[in-house]
Amino acid sequence: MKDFLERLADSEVREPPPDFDRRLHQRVNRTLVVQQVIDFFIGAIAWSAAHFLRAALGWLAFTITGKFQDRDRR
Amino acid sequence: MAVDLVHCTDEQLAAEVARESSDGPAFVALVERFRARVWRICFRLLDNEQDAADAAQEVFLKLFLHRTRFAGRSRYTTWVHAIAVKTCLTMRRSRGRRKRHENLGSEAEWEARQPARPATPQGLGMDLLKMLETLDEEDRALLLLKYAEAYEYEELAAIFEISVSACKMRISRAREKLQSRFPES
Repeated sequence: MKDFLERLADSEVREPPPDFDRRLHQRVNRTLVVQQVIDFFIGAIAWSAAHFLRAALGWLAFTITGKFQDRDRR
Repeated sequence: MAVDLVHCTDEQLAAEVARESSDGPAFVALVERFRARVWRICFRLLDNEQDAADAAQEVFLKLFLHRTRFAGRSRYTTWVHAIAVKTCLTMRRSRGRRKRHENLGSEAEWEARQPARPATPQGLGMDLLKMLETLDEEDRALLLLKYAEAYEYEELAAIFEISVSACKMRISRAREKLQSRFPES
């Protein structure tokens, strides 16, 4: 049986297709682009939500107290 | 300090890939270094050029996306080979199950059919790779890597995350299964 299994080593392994590297780098770069777009939108949504919330809270505070707090100038 | 990407160790190259945030020269050097080995594993386990190309690309994509996860607990080569084997096994399970069932039936079905079969093995006319198809996926992969690619038991044990003695035992049992199914081979 051992000799029989060792015949496996005789079976031929073909070369990778000639355009293997090109396709691989295309796939990697496509994945990178998708990842960066997702990262950008996640970051942008978080940033804009934080700023909108800050403005909304400022408006609410001004409505209730009648005082405008400009934190940036303090 | 610039690293010589051609002559550095696998671990140094992996660290350089992890530092890069793009498909840059270190990743190109990594693909160049491991292409042949990853391809051989994928081709052996999938036995089909198209599937092997898909799997090998998937392996390099995983190496790229998980480039910061290599913890150095094993050699980098072993880590790469383990990813290649797992990717191929997953691909075979998802793509090949239906096809194999059509051709040969599952292992359980095969064994269930045994009593009704004559004592003379029908497998004599089958080629070696088809005989291996009757085994469990991991056993088949172990035998292929051991006998077709001449991997050491230690390396196989690290790839399959089992002990060396368990690895020897599984290979021995897989051989016994083949012997019992195809006694005259």
